Amino acid sequence: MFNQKLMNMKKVIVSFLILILPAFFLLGQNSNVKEIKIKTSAQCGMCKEAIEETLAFERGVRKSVLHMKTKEVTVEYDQRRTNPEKIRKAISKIGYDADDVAADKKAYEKLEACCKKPDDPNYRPH
Amino acid sequence: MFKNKIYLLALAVIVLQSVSLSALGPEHNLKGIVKGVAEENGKTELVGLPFANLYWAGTTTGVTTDENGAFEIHKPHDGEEFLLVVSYIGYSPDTVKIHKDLQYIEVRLQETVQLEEVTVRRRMGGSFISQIEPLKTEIITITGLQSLACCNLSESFENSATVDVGFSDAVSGAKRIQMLGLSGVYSQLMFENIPTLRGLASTYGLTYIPGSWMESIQISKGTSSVTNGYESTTGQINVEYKKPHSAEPMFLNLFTNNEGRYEANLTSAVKLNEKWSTMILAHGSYQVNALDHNMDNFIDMPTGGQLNFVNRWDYEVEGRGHSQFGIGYMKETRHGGEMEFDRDIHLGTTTFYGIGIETSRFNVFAKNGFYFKNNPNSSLGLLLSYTAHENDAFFGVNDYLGKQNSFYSNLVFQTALDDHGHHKINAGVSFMYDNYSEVFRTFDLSRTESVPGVFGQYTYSSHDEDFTLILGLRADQNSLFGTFITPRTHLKWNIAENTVLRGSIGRGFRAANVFAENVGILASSRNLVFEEEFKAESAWNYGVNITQSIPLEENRSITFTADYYRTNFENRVIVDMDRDAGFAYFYNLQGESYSNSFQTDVSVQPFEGFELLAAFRYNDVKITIDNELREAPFVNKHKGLLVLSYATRFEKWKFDMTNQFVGKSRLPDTSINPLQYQRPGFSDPHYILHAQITRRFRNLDVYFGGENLTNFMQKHPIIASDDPFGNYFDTSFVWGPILGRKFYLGIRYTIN
Repeated sequence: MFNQKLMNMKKVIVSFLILILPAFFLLGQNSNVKEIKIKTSAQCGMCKEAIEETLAFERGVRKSVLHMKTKEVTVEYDQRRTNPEKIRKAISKIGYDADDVAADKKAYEKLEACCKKPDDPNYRPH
Repeated sequence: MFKNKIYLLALAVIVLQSVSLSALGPEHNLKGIVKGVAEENGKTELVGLPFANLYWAGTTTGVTTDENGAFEIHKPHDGEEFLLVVSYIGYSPDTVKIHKDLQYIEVRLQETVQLEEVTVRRRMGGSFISQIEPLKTEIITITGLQSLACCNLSESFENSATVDVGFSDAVSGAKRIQMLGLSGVYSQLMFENIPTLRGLASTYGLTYIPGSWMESIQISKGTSSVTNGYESTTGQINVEYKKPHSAEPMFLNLFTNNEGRYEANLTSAVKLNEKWSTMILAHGSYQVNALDHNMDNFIDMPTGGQLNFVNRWDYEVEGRGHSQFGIGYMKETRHGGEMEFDRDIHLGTTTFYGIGIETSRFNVFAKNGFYFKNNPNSSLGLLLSYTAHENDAFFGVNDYLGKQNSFYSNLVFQTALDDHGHHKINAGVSFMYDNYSEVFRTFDLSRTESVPGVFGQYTYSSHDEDFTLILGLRADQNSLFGTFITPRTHLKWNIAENTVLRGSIGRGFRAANVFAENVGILASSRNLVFEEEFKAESAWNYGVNITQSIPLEENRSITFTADYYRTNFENRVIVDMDRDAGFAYFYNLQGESYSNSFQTDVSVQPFEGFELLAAFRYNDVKITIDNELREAPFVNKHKGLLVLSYATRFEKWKFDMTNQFVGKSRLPDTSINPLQYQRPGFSDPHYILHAQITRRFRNLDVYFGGENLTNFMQKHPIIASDDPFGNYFDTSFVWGPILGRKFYLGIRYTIN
């Protein structure tokens, strides 16, 4: 009876560990992290959110923050897993210019009016 | 595309205005300009806002400003003063009072907080209380649905204290729900505002709605609007499926657990053109392993599978009409009973006890909405649905065959009595037809009900929409039970900016289906005694509730709600399992039966990404059984709930945890049984824990979780499992989990 309880206890602890374990991967650090700044064609908070979201799911990208004043996105990335060219392409793919990489045309067409470029007749600011 | 629409709209406005101009003269138009007040480098600037939206409150009459911010709008016909609502993205919308003689106005909009500081929350919280609905409505979002194993509707309420879910018996795997301490059959289940899973489907019906098909669930307590019929006494649960015009082109969900359950869901939506879109929703699941964890020689969860398919279509002509229709088919088998039972050898014998349940269900539905060209304040809605349901089962040596054919139609006309929409009328006619053929052993409970009905509902909402009053009345002529008069009233009052007070009073009716609603009794040795002809069940429900929200920074908030509901039965079909443990007596209520239910919820987002919901619920449910007012069986008095959820930015990682504290409930009397077949008078209080981790990739979610992690199980849920053909066998004494700890793993793959 007591043994049974102990076994149950063990099971509970093991199951908790299994559930919590992935969280520790988040805390992992390494020294291959580099930082770049990429100039984008973001216009407003919505564009900022979209670019940061797509980078969040880009392989090797640790962190990205877009500053609206400069329209520059600061990206921390793992240089073993990605490179600046790939990161620029990821931004272009959802419709925004990234330094010299022009926005993907199809994706740009689908952007909301406030995220289009100011010289576009469809652009409407906030 | 968007640009074209704007031009079209502008053109329409110009045409409309030139017509009205010539007819009515310029004094009937209001001219003006919309300007935005913006802070630029410390200086205040005024700029004209192009394409800002303007409309008269409560109407659909509106215009947009030109590129300079100028506009011209036709004033409503009658009244001294009108309310003009002006809005523009990034600016706080404003409502301006316009006197009928006013010719020109300059509207200034204040810029909201700079947009870059506003975080757009792509996914909403797991559940929230609507601030707008006249009835207090708890909404379970797709995020909430995805934070649980959530294979189907019955498993979607674990994070809500409003709905209790439990097994209805120890052998069939059927789940039952309770609201306000009363069986789920007193609430109304709706599929996109069409009543669904009524009658015979109430037994296993909650498992016919796969979790991945749902877009959201809305739960309201108390009687609901008379437009939906006379049923919902204790509440309404409306399920919205994913829609053809808005769902993703492909969504795939695969799920498995360590007990041998496999499940696949696929939904796919295609937009054919501007008007037409279509969608398929498919589900297949299979429970492979026959397991007996509690060592009573009975399979804990029946084996078998379900195939479920829906094809739905959507046709919309903007401004004219909207039609949604579809077709669905479901087939399910369940095999349970003793581990050794082999259908081919033992069926019809008393060697081993077996259970086999086969269900098939076919449904077509259509929802149509029409708008009137010359009267934008009116609309006409027509809902149609036909369902054929068949349930063929055996419990040991007893056979059950249930068939139901149901037709539902509801025609609703809605119109505003004034241009502001302060006074609205809903009126319509409905026709329901139910043909039941139900035979168990030698008992035949077949019947046919046809119910024509009429209804009317008046809605008053004040200028600022701070006060809403709904008065509704319907009359139905039931071919079996006579006339049902159903009055209902609802009230909503925003007593302060973030404080909403609501109240409701109403009556509800329904016809009982005692076999379908008490499947545990079919799998028992109890002798069934029908003491009299059943009358319709009817009850009055009264409720009040208050919602207080406290806004915090960054779109976060604290919401506090408290509610109290009372239900008084006028008549109820009593299932008496107390008088004698060897019998189940069925009769109409003689005396009192009521339920008092009090619930309070607090939900907080203490910091970005973290959500906490704490709830407490108290039920006091009494019922006159065998001439004695007693606590209703299988209803727990106390329940506590603590739901914790944490998501990292963009929900890359998500952690969900559900804690439930379930109090004791009264169990029917078994004192005349031999000692080993007796059960205590009350169930054990218990604690249940579920947890899940979700990792989101660009198009893929992977989730892993555990159900019932503390491994709490009801011991010996079956009475006399060692003698299933004897006098004491009973599977209906279920009050807690039958299944122990389970782990599951699933993926969701989306193509956008």
